[in-house]
Amino acid sequence: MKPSVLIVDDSPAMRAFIRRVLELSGVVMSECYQAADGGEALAVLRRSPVDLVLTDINMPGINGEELVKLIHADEQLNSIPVVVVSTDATEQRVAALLRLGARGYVTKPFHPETLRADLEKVMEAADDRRCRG
Amino acid sequence: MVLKTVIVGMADARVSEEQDSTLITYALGSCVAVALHDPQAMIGGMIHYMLPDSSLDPGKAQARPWMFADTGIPILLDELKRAGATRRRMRVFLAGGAQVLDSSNFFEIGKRNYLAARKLLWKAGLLVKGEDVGGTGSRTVSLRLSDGRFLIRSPAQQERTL
Amino acid sequence: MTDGVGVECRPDQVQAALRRAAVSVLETMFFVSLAGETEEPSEAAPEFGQPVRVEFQGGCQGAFTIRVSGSMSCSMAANFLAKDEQEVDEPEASQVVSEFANMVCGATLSVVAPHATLNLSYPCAGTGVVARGEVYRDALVCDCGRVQMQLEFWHNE
Ligand SMILES: [Mg+2]
Repeated sequence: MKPSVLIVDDSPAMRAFIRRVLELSGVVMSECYQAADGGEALAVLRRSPVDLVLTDINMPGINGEELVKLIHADEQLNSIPVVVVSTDATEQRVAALLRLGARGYVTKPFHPETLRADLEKVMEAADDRRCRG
Repeated sequence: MVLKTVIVGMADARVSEEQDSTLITYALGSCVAVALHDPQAMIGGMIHYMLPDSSLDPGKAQARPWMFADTGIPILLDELKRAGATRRRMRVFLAGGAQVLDSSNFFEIGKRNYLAARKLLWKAGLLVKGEDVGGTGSRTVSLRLSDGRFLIRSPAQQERTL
Repeated sequence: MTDGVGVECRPDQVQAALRRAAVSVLETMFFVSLAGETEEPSEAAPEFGQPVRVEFQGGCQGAFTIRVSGSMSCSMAANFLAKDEQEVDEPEASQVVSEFANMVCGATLSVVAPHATLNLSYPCAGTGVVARGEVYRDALVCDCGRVQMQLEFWHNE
């Protein structure tokens, strides 16, 4: 099954970069949605719950941390794996986001392969969950 | 079975379509080797270049395009493609780019060689499967076509595969 | 250690962290290397493009401003977006420099203020705002152009 993906980042350049990493990682996407902040992301998710969300933290309006919380608290959405891609590398922030429900964390700057490795791990775990579930 | 060794010299590149062959290059210091392997088509290629950018010496680049990342890597990718390799299947390895005292006199040439490969591969749509770069030691690397094993040997460390 | 600002480093460590963050972002995301020459940071350099500014608040407040020289934004955008330089348009180049500013600022702050929860503003074109507070400046000479940076921490009045 081809996954649908949502990329959330206030930088259009970063969204394009992440999209290219997904494509070059061999992730054949049925759909690749993009959103510039948490509010836009939630609007996309209400319309079409995707298979994977990649999100920045620092964004205007609803930021990435709140987005992770809201997805986690929503019964319709809380099975969607979320990977955070952010410049904030501090241990406490990473730990807090993982506690809030994020499944992966990639620190900017990053090599494409680092994101690919995280994606593979997260998608595999999601497949396992689906099989068991 | 006699195994065939294809030696890639300094400022040189080779493509092999023989299943029982191994591409090998010796004594990478600040130079970088890029090795590519298409496991399905059983095609492998390797370049051993010395400098990141042909603008450093346009005259030399004409005569010896393999000497530079920006002239050599695109030609190697073209040759692999012509031989039947496909970008999507390609597994890419990088090695070298050490910080060594050499005669080139260019600032941080190992680092710049490495970044040149990264840039060209990203633009060509290729991610890196494994890399062993930087440090101060010399490296000898080989790519075995039969199974795609990329082997690194260096004086101070144990043999390792990526 | 600066009280009440969330910065947990000595000035020389902040300066070093800024340099390290910038070099790491340039190398990792843009494949840009240092050229080995040095340059003093200076206020007025007409050959530089529009400054980009990121403000931050939370455990500490301040701003980060960055400028890149002439065609460097175009080279950076081409590398980042995997395009030819001729294919890069003006908005793309400025978006890429904005994200460059965001990454350098964020990476520096997570080293120098690791316990401060910070919000970074959306990078915007900075005009002639006079630096205040504790100011750190750095200049980088790269293979495809030059970078000028300024990090300032504002103290609570
Ligand atoms: Mg952002």
